[in-house]
Amino acid sequence: MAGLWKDGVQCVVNIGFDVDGVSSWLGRDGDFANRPVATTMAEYGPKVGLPRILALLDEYNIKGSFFVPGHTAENHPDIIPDLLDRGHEIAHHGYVHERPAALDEGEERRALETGLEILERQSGARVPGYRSPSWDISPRTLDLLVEYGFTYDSSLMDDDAPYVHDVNGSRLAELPVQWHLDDFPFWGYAPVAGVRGPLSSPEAVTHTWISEFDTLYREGRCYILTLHPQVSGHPSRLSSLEHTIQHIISYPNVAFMRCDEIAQYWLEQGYS
Amino acid sequence: MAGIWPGDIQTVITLGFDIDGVSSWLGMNPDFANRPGLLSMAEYGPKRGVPRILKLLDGYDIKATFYIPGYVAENYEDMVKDIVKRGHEVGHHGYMHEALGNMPIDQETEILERGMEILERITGTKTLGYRAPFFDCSLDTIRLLAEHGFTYDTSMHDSDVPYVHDVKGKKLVEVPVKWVLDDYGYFAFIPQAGRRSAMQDPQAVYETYAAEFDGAYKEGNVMTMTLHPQASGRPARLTSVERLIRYAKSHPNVEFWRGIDIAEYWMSR
Repeated sequence: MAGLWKDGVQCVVNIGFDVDGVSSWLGRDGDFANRPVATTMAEYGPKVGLPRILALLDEYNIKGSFFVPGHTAENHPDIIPDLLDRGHEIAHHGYVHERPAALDEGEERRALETGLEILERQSGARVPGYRSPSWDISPRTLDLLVEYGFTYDSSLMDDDAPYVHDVNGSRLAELPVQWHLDDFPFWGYAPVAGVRGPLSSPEAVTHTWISEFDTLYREGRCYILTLHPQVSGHPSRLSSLEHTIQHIISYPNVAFMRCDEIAQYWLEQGYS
Repeated sequence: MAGIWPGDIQTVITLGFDIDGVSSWLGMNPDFANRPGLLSMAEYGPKRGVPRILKLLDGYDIKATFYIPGYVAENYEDMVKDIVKRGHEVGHHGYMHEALGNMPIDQETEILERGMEILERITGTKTLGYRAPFFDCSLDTIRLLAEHGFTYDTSMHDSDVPYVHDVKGKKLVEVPVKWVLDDYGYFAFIPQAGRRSAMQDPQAVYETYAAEFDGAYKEGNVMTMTLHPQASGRPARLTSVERLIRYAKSHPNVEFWRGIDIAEYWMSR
C-alpha cells in the first residue's frame, strides 16, 4: 500500500505548544489573578520557558505550531512577531483559554472572534488553525470553525493520522491529539487549583513519547506532540523534548511539519 | 559571557527545608487535631527527619535554610537553636502555615509579626528571609515584607535567576522557587486529608532533580530546593537529596548557599 505521505516520507511529526500563560488559570477561576502562586508559575511559560524552547527548536531547525490565547498575545505582544520571524505557525487557542463545552453559543462566538481579531492584528494574517482549550469542544464548535473560515481543528482524539470532518458539505481537517502526547498530565502541578499530576521523571515521559513514535513510524501515521511552555519550559522537562527529538531524527524519512502544512496537504490530497 | 555569580561560580544551589510539622495540617483544618495518625506522620518531620537532615548537611559541610512556622518553633525551641548553632539560617514560614491568598491584610500582618517575634526571641536575631506557606502569597505580601525589613522572599515561580522587587524604593530580593524542585508533590501520601500522590520512586525524583541541575548548571542559574522533613526526612526519600548533592558536587564551581547568602550577594551587585 502506498503511504499517506509524499516524497517517501514515512511519518510526519508536529511539535505544538499551547502558550497559555496565566490565561488557562484565569479561565478556570478569575480569583487566581490574586494568587501569585498561580500567576508566577504560569508566567514562567512566556517569560522563561518560551525563549528556552525557541532556542532548542532553532538548534534542530524545527518549525512548530504555537497555539496562543488572545489574552497571552495581548499581555506579551512581542511573542507573535518573534514566532513568525523564526518560521513558526500561529494558531487559535481561545481568548482566556475558555473551554467551549462550558460556553453558550454567544460566549463561544465571542471567544472565537476576540482571539481571531487579536491574532490577525498581531500576525497580519487570518490564522487557519484552532486547538480548543482543554480539548473540550462543544457540539457546535466544528460548525463555527467552518463558519469562521478555519482550515483545521486539533482537539479530538479518535485517530492517529489526520482525517476530514464533513460540516454541511464543507471540509475541515482534524489533526488528532492524545493526552499521553501532552506534557500536562505528567507534570501539571498547581495545588491551589487542585491539580496534582504524578510528577513523572523526565526519563519516564521520554520513554512514553518515543514508544508512541516507534509504532506510529512503523505504521506511517502522524505524531502530534502538545507541550506547554509553563510545563516543558523547565530545564528537566525540556530534556524530554530534546531526547524525543534526537530519537525521532535518528530515523530516516521523517518530516517535521507545522499543523497548517499538514492540514493543507491532507485537504489537497482529497483524503477523507 | 560573564555569569551572574561572583568569580568562577557557575551555579548556586540553596537547600531550603520547610519544617511544617503539624502546623500545615492544623492550619488547613483544626479538626485534624483529633486525628493522631495524620499528626504522627507530620511530627516525624521535626522529630526524626530534621536530625537526619542536619547530620547529612554536616557530612557534606553544607549550610542550608530552614523555614519554620512560629507554632513549630514554639514547640521545638531546642531544634531551632541547634539549627542556628550549626550555621544554618532560619526563615519565616507563617505561624500556623496559613495560606495568604485572599486573607484580609490585618490578619496577614498579625501573622507575619507573630512569626517574626517568635523566631527572633528563640534565635536572638532578626529573621531576614520569608517563604510563603504553600507559596501562596497575597498581592500585599511583598510590600509587607519590605516594610517589615526582610531582605528576601522565596515564594515566586516566574524566574530561574534571582531578581529584585522594588517596593517604593525599598528593595526585596526574590529567590525563585519551582514545583519541580519541591519534594511534596512526589511523596505526599495522607489519606486522612485526601492526598494521594504518585509515591514516586526516589530514583525517579533524583533523576528529575539531576536534570534540573543540568539545566541550571548549563545556564548558570540558581537552583532553589524546597524540601520537607516530613517527606524527604524519611530514609528512602533522603537518598534523592543526597544523590543530588553528590551529583552537584561532582561538577566544578558549584556552591551551596543559604537563602540569605544569595539575597545579600544579589543586593550587593
